[in-house]
Amino acid sequence: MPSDFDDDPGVRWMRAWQAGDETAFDALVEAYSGQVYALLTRFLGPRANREDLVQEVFLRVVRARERYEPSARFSTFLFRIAYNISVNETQRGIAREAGNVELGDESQSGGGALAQFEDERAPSPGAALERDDVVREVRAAIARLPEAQRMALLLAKYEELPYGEIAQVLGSSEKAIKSLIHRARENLRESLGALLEEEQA
Amino acid sequence: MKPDCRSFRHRLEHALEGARGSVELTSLAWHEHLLGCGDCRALLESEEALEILLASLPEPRLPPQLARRVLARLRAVEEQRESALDRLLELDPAARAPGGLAGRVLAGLERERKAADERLNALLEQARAVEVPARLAQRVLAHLAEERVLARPRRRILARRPAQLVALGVLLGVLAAWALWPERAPARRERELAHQSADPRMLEQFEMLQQWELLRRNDLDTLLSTLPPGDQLLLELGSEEGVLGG
Repeated sequence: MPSDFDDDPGVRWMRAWQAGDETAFDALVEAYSGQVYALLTRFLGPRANREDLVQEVFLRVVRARERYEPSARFSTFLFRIAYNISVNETQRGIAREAGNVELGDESQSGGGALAQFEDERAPSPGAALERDDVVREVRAAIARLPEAQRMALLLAKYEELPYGEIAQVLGSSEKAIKSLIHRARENLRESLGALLEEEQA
Repeated sequence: MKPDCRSFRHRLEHALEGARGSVELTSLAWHEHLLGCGDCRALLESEEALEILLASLPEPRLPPQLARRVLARLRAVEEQRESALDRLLELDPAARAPGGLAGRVLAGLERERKAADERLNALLEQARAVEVPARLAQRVLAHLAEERVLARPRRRILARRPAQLVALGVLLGVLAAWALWPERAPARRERELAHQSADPRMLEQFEMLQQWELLRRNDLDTLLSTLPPGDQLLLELGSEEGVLGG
């Protein structure tokens, strides 16, 4: 059955895979695994099992092969799975631990965890150290946001999803997403007050 | 909040919604509302600063060969799942075919077949071994004698029914045969059984027992008629010596 999303490459690969083209699934993983990995990293922090979680996301795609019907871009479908898996992880209490691991690892290994976030724009070692503090603080502030606010903000800011698609990912309405992001920004402005003043100055 | 402020903040939210939030915000900085509203100006500056901070976060570095590794692990998981399913199916003993099953099934069927054969033979044997009362024919004839006498005046009627007469004759013949059969049949059967035996000594003893039985019944003539001439002479000599006189 044709849909409004047949121009989306992910949807086309899913269709081809459903029709029996096994290489189409390989193409899906090639195209989207990095995006899923980045989203999970931003949402959960630099934790060791992110690759397992990426695998889990695509395993659910495998299981949905027969019943998949495109009702959005493929990335929206994938992000919804990734969000559900991330929330399960958080509810198991592992994600809360990951927040400590992120800070703990960095303090123990002199920014070891941060080293996973390559920043090619860092102009000099001194500036990089200064930037590391800012980056760590911003990440910690994002990590403290409630799950729905955090995911909505990340999808809007880093995946550049329109509010309508974010609503599909979170199973919510566009109006509710607007409100979520507004509250997320308020929370961030509050927790990053000192840094914001520095930035304004 | 003043209506102008509400309108400005609505525009601000709209600007933040787009992918190019910071560019939109810069254009908003020239909004005339900001000239007379410090709160909205502070809010805009704060949002701009937040945008810069959020944009300063580096892209997460991806592990090398991520897609290839994920694909390999997915295949391994699917294979494990398949083999786990096979193991679960093997746990069901009913689904397991033991070695030599076909042979045992066939042997069981053969046993059943033999048992059924034996039961059938026993039934046939029972049906065959009908005991015919002694002197049945004589008693039947005796019983019929009176009827026959009564039937004489109506001979003409019977004569008009030859079929009944023929049937009666056949019935009488069969009854007579039954009456005579048990006299000879057992002896013949025993002989047949004895001859089927592979042991010649058994055969000899059986013949001797038969002869002895005949002697005991003083059926000497019958015995003599079954013996070869040489044996008859010996027996006659023995009789004269009183050996067989008892």
